[in-house]
Parts: sequence; structure tokens; C-alpha cells
Amino acid sequence: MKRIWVDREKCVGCKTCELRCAIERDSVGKTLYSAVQEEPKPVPRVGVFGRTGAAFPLQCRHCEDAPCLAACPSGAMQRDPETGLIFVQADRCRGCWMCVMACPMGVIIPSAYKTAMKCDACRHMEAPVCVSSCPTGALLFETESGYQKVLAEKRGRLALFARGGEGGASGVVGIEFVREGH
Amino acid sequence: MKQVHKKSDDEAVNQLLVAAYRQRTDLAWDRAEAQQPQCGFGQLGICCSHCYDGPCRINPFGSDEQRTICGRAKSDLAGGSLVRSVADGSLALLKLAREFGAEVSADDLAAVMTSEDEMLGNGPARLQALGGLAAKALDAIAQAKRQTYGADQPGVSKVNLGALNAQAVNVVVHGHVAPGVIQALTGAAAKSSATVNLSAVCGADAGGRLALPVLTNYESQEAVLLTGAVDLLVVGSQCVMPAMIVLAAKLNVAVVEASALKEAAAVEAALQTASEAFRRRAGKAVNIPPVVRPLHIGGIDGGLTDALKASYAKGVVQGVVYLGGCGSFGSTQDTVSVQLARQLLKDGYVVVTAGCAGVSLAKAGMTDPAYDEANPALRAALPAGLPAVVYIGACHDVAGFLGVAEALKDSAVPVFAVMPQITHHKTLATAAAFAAKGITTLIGLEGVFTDAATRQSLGRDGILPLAELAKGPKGWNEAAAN
Amino acid sequence: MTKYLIIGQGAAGTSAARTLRQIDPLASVTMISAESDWFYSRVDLPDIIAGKLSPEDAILAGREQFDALKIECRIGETARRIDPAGQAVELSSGARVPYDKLLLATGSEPVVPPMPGGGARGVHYLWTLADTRRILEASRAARSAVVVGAGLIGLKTALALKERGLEVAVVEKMLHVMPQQLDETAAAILADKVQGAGIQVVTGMQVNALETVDGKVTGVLLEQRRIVADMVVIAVGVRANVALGRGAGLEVGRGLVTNEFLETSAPGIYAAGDAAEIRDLLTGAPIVPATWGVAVEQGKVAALNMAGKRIAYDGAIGMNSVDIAGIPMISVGTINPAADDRQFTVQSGDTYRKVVVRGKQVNGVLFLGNVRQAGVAANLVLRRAEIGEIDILSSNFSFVSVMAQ
Repeated sequence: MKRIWVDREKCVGCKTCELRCAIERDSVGKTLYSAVQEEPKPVPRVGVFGRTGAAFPLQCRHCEDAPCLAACPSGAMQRDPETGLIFVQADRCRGCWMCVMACPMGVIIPSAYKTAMKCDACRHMEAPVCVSSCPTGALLFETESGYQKVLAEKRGRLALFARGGEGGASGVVGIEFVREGH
Repeated sequence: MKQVHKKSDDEAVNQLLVAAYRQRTDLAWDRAEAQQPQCGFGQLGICCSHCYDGPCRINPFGSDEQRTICGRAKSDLAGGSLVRSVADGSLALLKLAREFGAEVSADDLAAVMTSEDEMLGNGPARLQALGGLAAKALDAIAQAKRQTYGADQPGVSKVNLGALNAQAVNVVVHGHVAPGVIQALTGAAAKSSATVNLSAVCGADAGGRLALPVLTNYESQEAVLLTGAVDLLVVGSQCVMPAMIVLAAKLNVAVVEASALKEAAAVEAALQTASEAFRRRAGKAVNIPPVVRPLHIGGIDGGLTDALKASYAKGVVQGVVYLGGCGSFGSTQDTVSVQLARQLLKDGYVVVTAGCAGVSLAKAGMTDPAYDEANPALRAALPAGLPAVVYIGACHDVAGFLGVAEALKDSAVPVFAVMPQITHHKTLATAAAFAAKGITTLIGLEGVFTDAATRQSLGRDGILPLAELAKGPKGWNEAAAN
Repeated sequence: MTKYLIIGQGAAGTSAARTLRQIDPLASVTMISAESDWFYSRVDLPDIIAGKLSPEDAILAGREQFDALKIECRIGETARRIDPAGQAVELSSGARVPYDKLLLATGSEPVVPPMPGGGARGVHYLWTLADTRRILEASRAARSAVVVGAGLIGLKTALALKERGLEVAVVEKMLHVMPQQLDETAAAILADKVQGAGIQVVTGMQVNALETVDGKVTGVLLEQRRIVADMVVIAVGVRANVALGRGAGLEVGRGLVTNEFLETSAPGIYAAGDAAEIRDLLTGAPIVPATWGVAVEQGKVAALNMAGKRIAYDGAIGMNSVDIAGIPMISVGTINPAADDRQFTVQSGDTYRKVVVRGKQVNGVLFLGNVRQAGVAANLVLRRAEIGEIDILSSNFSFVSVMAQ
């Protein structure tokens, strides 16, 4: 399963991923100039958070033990059995926001249309638009083994790296939410 | 994010693009590709780095309430960045006027210059004043040229890279070089023992008695050097890509600044350098594409306005349009201007053109009086020998169009200006100058018009988005569709 | 081959059945449901009344899906008695269903307040899909309705009836709407929207009796007031449905008392979902959280334990999420501060956020209006995380703020 990985050292906080995601995935016009004039305003599924100098692009991690899946009472939140990606079937969503409450990453967005919206890693496209639009290459779309390869390459150059933020502040991180206990 | 399109419609440029590819020389198109995706905040003019609290930016998809640290709203940023660019463009034109020998008052200079520390400045109210200053600068430039060498007389020259001569010393003038310098070079060349072929890249072309061949326009300037036939590059202060200097060094082409050619001795020395380079080049292969066309320059002062009035009354001509502007790496070189001109001609408009867009039309053969795709009725209505697409020189040579507009002011003949692609600030300032003179001006800077407040204030000042062509008089519809 | 029996086909029961099938492809899994409808989504019920959905839309899994998992379903059959010694459940039809492990996922039932006129025609409770059909039918002939109780279900029902074109009033005996989930400020924002939708909101008033004519309801009687109504919907809360367990002698508190493995006081009998009493993650106090996600989680954990996995369930906290009159709201943990708690709030237009901090920990959060990032805050409460430098009310608050900690 390919996932979106973040090389946090490379994120300069430009928010290009946010713009491109909003345009590609939530606008009617699909161009910057038309998208910014639409109402309701297109919403990105990726958000660049953090502080200046320590920005971090955050989108759904497609958790293995996904709390949003358990929380959804209408069957709208689903996992694609082939890719493992979690997506919202919008016509089933009743806008109860249980998933918003359940998601510890805060990456599910209550849309103006009263349906939950989230990153599905652009599952109908060749690559997620955030990844292909990142000007510094801070985002990778890779399988676990591909990501390990990148990690190994980085290891050669860096003393510090971390996964999930444990230990070091730098390096490629893949965050995954794991429920404590089981 | 790659937008794959053909780089240029110019067969001469395409020949050299192949050569560049073989030599693995990156050109502006390659760098443009490497810049993708470009920053959307910058495209919308809603990023500000004018103080060190910044950079600040407004999220275009966020709430309108977001403001910069100092408190500017989105419309302040979008409108402010446009006004700042117009001011900068007016400054560029005023500087050219001064370089060309015209008097520029300290008051005029002070009026365009704003420090970023003047935090309450650069509001939309300045646009009219800046446009007026730009118009003043355009007039001063025209006057200086007229005084130097009668630039307003019609002339015939050549366009495209085939105007380089493998057997001659090729001196290329590029970058809005002062007419005095061109005159000095021409004079020295005439006295030189070698055969000197003086030619220009868009911006340094001069009408009248000094109608230099125009080799190419902005985007393909590097192609000129790639011919291997340039013996000396004389550069002015504006529109020369820094990449030119790098490429010239790589190809061992001497570069001299036009501002250094004030004394006759310096001019002679420069030509000497060129001649030596020519001698060194003897026997080496050059790559000059065999593409060249006649370039007709000027002629809008000779009865055009009277002819327009008469033929408009008869319904033969729909009006007169200035089609100018630069190019863009976002589309195939030359195509946007050429398609627009073709449609305007078809619909019965006389087209006046200049600058890089003008070179596009000239390269396509449209400035030739014999250009056969023009509306025949339109051609018949024009003074003898005048093409339906009148090229009037570099982008700084457009005061003549202001004269045409002035002469038609009290007539019913529609006059408007279109600049579908704008790269440099002086082009934007020229748009503001036209608008300040009451000419409805359409510009292709989409990002500027995405902010409602900016759009409204620009519209009040006579500047409209290119898309508005669709709402104009007869024929605008089809023109905009292209 | 182990025989698993599950009573109830709601979120917990279905989650358990699916989990059991997943871990043991060969086991016999049987579900018994007193309701005649297949597994459905409760959030859809108000929308069905409003006419935006049909009852079929609410079905999450029907015969086909259960058949595919080889889960035997006895729909519309009531379990009457458990025989713990004989390891079997007796149905009202008289049939006996044997089991090795039993799960009671019997859910909850609406509270029926003792009140004169409470049994009249035209008095409804909204809890099941069958109730929904009855209310839908009644609303066609009615011109006015009173909803008793301004909780989540009460308000949703009131809005749905209003959408059908009825004159609607809501009566709440507490001082503001949604007293369980909201504080006064949040309730005021919400009440304003509900009133804006054309609903009369009466708070701080008790319904003393229902007025009836010929056994049919005609209005509600308050302290000094009477509100005319062709139909009345009572929504004053739900309680765990424990009758079956009680009958078998299981220990009962607020629900069927469970240990950390979700096993009841009788070995081999488990409980999950709204019927089960568990421990509050924060206080250790016995609670019945009664939310969908918690029920799914418990169903899964109970199933794992029934299959012998010994997985402890930590407990849960009171949390709820809902969108009423266009206002999303999420409340987690204790949002009404105790004496030593610190409370922080921020309000801007229809957005209101509140954080309650006890000692070093976030004990409760309330997000109303813009609820983005509520999950991040909720997770801090769930994890009993130390608040440290994290500012939940900052406009820049996100998971990255938590990561940075």
C-alpha cells in the first residue's frame, strides 16, 4: 500500500499543497484563478500546520486501526480493500461529525455541504496532488519499503531521524495513529 | 503539474531549441518547467514580504477576515501589488525617457517612487496618476527618438533570426538601448573596414532611418546567442535576462553595456572587439535558421485616422485596437497574440502593434501590407501601402497610438487596447497609461482580477480582464474565445 | 465449533458478529433481534421524518451482507429468557438457542416519564426505525407537535417535524437546550438557530400532563401554560435495556455491569454497547456512554474476549457529536467545570470553544460551530494527556501542536 510520507526537513510552509489540493479536489473550475472566486470556497484536505520554520503538511494517515471507521454510524467512511485507503462515500454521509470527533489528527473536515471530507490520497489519480505539487519534494508517495529506502538514504547523511516524532526532531516521518491497549 | 505544450510557434526558434537540447543547454522554457508549480499566493498577489515581520499571506480559500500582521486585507495586497507594479513600470519608462535624452522632472520621479515603509501608500487611488506619468514618459520617449533620428517615419526592415549574416560582423543590440547609442554604432559601423550587421532583439529596434532588423522577442532571446553567429552583444538596462550574460560567457560572446558606449572611442573599441570575434569565428559552423521576413515599421500618422473615420461610417471597419504586451512561458510562443490578431482582423478591426507581441505578429507575416489573411474590405479601406497590422516599434514606442486615440476621441470609432500577456512592469504601466487616457484596456493578468475589490477599482479606471472581450462590441466574442 | 450468540443487531452487536467471523471463519455466529428491521443507522431517523431519506436508506447491512458472512440472523424474534446454566436463550416463539458464549447487545430504550395522558394516542418516542415510521405516519395528519425534551434527539426531531411543515414547540425542563452536552453560552447560540428555524423553544418548564380528548393527545400542560399539539414526541433520554440480563440474575447498575473484559457477572455472558455499564476513562466511575463509535469498539473488544483473546477494555468517556440546525457541535469529557477546574473559552460569531482543565490534564472540550480539530482535542482528553504548552483555543491549534509537545 502506498502512503503519503513527510520529509519534515523539506517543508518550508509555502502551502502550495493546500492550494493545489483545494483546486484539484474541491473546486469546480480546477484552476487557481477560477477556484479562488468560487463560493463556497474550495477547501484543502491537507493542512500545513506548525510554526514558522517547523511547518508540517498534515493529511489523513489512513491509520491501520482507524477510529473514524469505527465512529461512522452511516457507513460513509470506508476503507478501499485494495489500496487500504480510507475514503468518504459522500452520499452516505449524514454530517454527524462523529469522525471529526474521533480523528486524533484532526484531518477530517466538515464541509459546507454537510459531509465529511478527507484526504483519500487522490486514489483516482496517478499521484496525490499534494505530493506532485510540492516544490521542495517534502512529500513522498511510497510503499512502506520504498519509504524505508528513503529513510536508509537519509540515514547515511543524518545522525537524527525519527518515525512518528519519537526521539528526534528531524527526518522523514510517517505518522500512524495506534490505539493504546490493543 | 506539467503543462505540456509546444514551446514556440516560430520555426527559427524551434530549430535552435533542437540545437539547445542536443547541447544540453537549458533555456528559459526549461527553467520555467523546473519552476512548476509556481506559488499561487504570488500569482494572486496576496503574499507580502515588504517588511521583516513578513512574509505574510492571505489564504485565498480562508475567511476574508484574515489580514497581514500590519493589518492589510486581501484586497489591499492584491490591489497594492498591482499598483506597486504599475509604479515600477512607470519608473522603468521614465528611466528610459531619461536614458534616451528626454528631460524627466524630479517631481515626476518622486511621484512614482514609493518606499515600502510608506505603509499607507500604494492604494488604488494612485493608478490614474501613475498611468498619467507613464503616458508622459511614453511621449517623452517618442519625442527623444524623433529628435535623434526621425523615428516616426515609416521604414522597412527585416524580422527573425535569418537577419543575422554569417559573413558579417554581427552586433546585436538588446534591451531598450538608447537611440543615441544605436546611432553611434550605426555611424561607426558605416566607417568600419569590416562588414558590420547591426541587429536588435525586441526592445532595441528603432524606426525611421534606423530601422534595425529585429531578430526575435523576449522569450527566445537566448536563441540569438545559440546561433553561434553573434560577435558582440550590446545590452541595455531593461528586459535582458541575466541568463543571457551567463550564456554569452559560456559561448565566449563579448558583452558590452550600452551605457558604456557614450564616447566615440568606446564605440570604436566595441566594434573592434566584435571584428576580432568575427575573425576568430571564421571557418566555424554557425546555426542561423534561414527564416526572415520583411518588417514594416510605422505609418500610423499618415492618414490612418481619417481613413478610419470614413470607413467606420461606412461600416467597413469596426474600430482600431492596440494589441501589445509581452509573451508567456505558459503558452506556445507567439500563438496567443497571433490568434487574437487574426480574429480581430477577421472581425474588421485595424490592429496597431508594438513590442514583443508586435514581433510575434511580424514573425507571422501579419505586418506585411501583402498579408493576405486580413479582411479584404479592411485592407481596401486603409491608406495605400499601410498594412492592416501596423507595427510601430518597441513597447516603449507606443505614444503614437495615444495620438491615434486622441485624434479619434470625438469620433464614434471604437478604440481599445489589448495586452493578452504581460511579463514586465512597463507593459502594465503602459496599460495604465492607455486607461488614464480614456482607452478601454484589457489585460491578460488573470490573477489580478480574482479579487473582487481590485477588479472593481480597475474596472472603474478602465482596465478590464481579457475575458471581458466576450462582452464587448461585435466580434469581441469570437476574439475572446481564442 | 464454537457457538456464539448475540442478542441485538445494533452497532455493538453487528461489530461483534463481524469481528467473530473475522477471527473464526468456522464458528457459528447467530444474532437475534427483536426489531423487524435489519441493521440500520440511527442518525438517519430524523432525516427520514423530515422526508429527506426513506427508511430503506438507513439500512447499513441487510440479509445479503449477513448471509455473505454466514451470520445467522433471527430478525423480529424476541429473546425472552436466558438459561445460564443450560447455556441457551429462549425466544418468545418458544425456541431454544444454545450458545457457548453469549453477548448482550440489547441497546437502550427511551425513558417513559410518568405523566397523566402519557399513554394517549398521538404520543410517540423516537428510538427505533419502527418508531420513525409511526411518527412519519402521524406527522402526515398533524398540524402541530410538541417535543418534550430539548436533548439531541428532541431537537433533531423538532427540526424534522418543522421541515414537514408542522407548528413545533420544544419544552425542556432544564434551563437551556442540550443540558447534557452544552453549557449556557453554547446552548444560547444553538437555541437561537433552532428558534430561527421557526421552532418555539421553552426552557425551564416542566410538562405536568398531556391534555387528551377521547384518548387522543391534544396538547401539553405546563406550569401556567398550555401548548396545543396534534402529536407529542417524548425525548427525555434513554436508559440501558437490561431486562433480559436482570432476569438472568446479572448484576445491574446503570447498565449491565461488566469487568475490564466486558464480561458480565455471569461467566461466558458479555455485554457491549448501550446496554453495558463500563468505567469512565477519566474518573473510573460507572457510565454508559451510549455513542455509536464506543458501541462499535466495545462490540469488537467483547468479541475478541469471547474468542478467548483476553483484551482489556480501558473504558470510555462521555462524548458526543451532532449537527443541529446547521450548527456542528462536539463535546468531550466534562465540560461543566468543578470548583478547582480552570475553564478557557473563545467565541467568535457562531463558533464557540471551551476547554476545561483539571490539574495538568484536559478534562473536557466543547467545540461548536467550527469543529475542525475537535478530534485532536478529544484525543488529549482520552489520553489524559498533560496540557503543557498546548493551546487548544489558538487559531493555530492542530495535531502538529501536539506532536511538537
